[in-house]
Amino acid sequence: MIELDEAGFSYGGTTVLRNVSLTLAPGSFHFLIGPSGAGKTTLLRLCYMDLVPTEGEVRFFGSAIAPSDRNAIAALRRAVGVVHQDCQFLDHISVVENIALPLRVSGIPAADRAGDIEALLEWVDLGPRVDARPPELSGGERQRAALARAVILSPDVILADEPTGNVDWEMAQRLLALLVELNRMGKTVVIATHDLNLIRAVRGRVAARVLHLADGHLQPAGAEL
Amino acid sequence: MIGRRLRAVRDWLADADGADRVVPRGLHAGLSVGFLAGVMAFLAILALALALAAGRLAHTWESEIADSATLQILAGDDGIEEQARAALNVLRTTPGVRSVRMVELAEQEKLLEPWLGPDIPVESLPLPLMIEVETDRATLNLPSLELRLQAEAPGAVYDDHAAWRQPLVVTAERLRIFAIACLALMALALAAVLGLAATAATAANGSAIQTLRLVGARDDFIVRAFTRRFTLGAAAGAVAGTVLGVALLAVLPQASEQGFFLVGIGLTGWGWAAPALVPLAAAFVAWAATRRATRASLWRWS
Repeated sequence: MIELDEAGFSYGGTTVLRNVSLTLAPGSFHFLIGPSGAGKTTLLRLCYMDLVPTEGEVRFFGSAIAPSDRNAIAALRRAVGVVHQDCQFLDHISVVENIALPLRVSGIPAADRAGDIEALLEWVDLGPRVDARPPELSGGERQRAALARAVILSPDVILADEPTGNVDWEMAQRLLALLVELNRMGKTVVIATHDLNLIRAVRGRVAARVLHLADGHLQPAGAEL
Repeated sequence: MIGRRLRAVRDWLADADGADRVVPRGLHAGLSVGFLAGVMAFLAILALALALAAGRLAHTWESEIADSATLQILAGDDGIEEQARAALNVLRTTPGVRSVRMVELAEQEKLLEPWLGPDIPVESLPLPLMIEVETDRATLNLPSLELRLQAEAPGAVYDDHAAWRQPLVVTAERLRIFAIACLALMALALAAVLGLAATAATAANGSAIQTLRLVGARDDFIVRAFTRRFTLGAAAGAVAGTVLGVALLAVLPQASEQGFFLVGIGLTGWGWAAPALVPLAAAFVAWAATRRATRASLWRWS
């Protein structure tokens, strides 16, 4: 689905990632771990072309996308759901409008997918909060809303960058359960985290691969759980 | 093809894709755009009225006044009547002369009164006899007429007003060009300011744009969101400015159909429909300038 071929990224003379080769196969589940500044976020950003590798290549669904091809990048973003640590909502519109935003930018009338939106809200347990504005939500609610927005177009790949960074352990487990459920539906899931407890929490529930980033290098072999 | 374009415009006006909702509303910026467009539209209406009035004036001087001439008989008292009769005979038998009319002494006095005052005994002045002539320039052979007058009424001086009319026509034409140039400059100024405002708006809404891109919005969608906001704001302001401008013109002394310049820099006839173009032009300028500026900003961010 997404292949990084000896990809690297440097910014202002500082090398953040170097020589990373990785394949995210359909239906796979990955944890991307490493200390702060190891390059986890950069690697994820390469996976949805928020950044362009300064060396090597990234291929999406079999082919590379030119950085100047803005429409192709937009199409890629609709096929890859992203959950940010800070969620990135539009604060002036309601939660349900934020969740339905990918539909709106894709030209799909929300009314046509009202049933899906309702089911999704129920799935992430945000039904009573649909009319709230994002700043009114708790950390856990924000993360669940971000997850709902990431999956509303039923993408093949879900990338989550520290999705449990701002929530308590109970909420972290709920979010993790939702991501595991998505993986069981056949979605490729990548979770960047520095919380090793998350990895232990899914032990036995999913075949997850752990990728360890340190000093911009991906460790040669991930530990199978 | 046209139907599809019309549907696209209708969808755009109705915000069918909901693009407008995704840009946070900035009250201050919206009012500034509307106010600016309103002021520009108000000035544009005045410039438009000036252009139309100048055009009318140039046309009048060029065509209507150009078809009139004056014949003055400057002979002494003893031969003046005879020369006047001879001149009238020449004029009436010349092809291209539509009508001739003797200007009465009372009319001459009335014409001179503004210059000499009411207390001067005009009748004591050695006034020439004056004949008003209406011609058809297309068929009149002026050199031939002047030769015949010279032969049969040597005291007659034919004046087709060309000496003073041509500079006035040139002046009116230049005034019209000046007014049109003012309109063009206003459109450019509006485009430049709205372009800057759109650039500032995209910078101020950077996080919203980042979010839209994150969820797969095409640049076209983002551009639509900004251009719609700016275009409708500018159009609303321009409508207000146009209404004010037209109201001002309506209370000015009305322009006569003859278009005498100082009678009124106003609108006549179909000219009253011209201001309707100003909000449309302002909206188009706003749309084009915002679209270009937003696209450029998005491209830079890429």
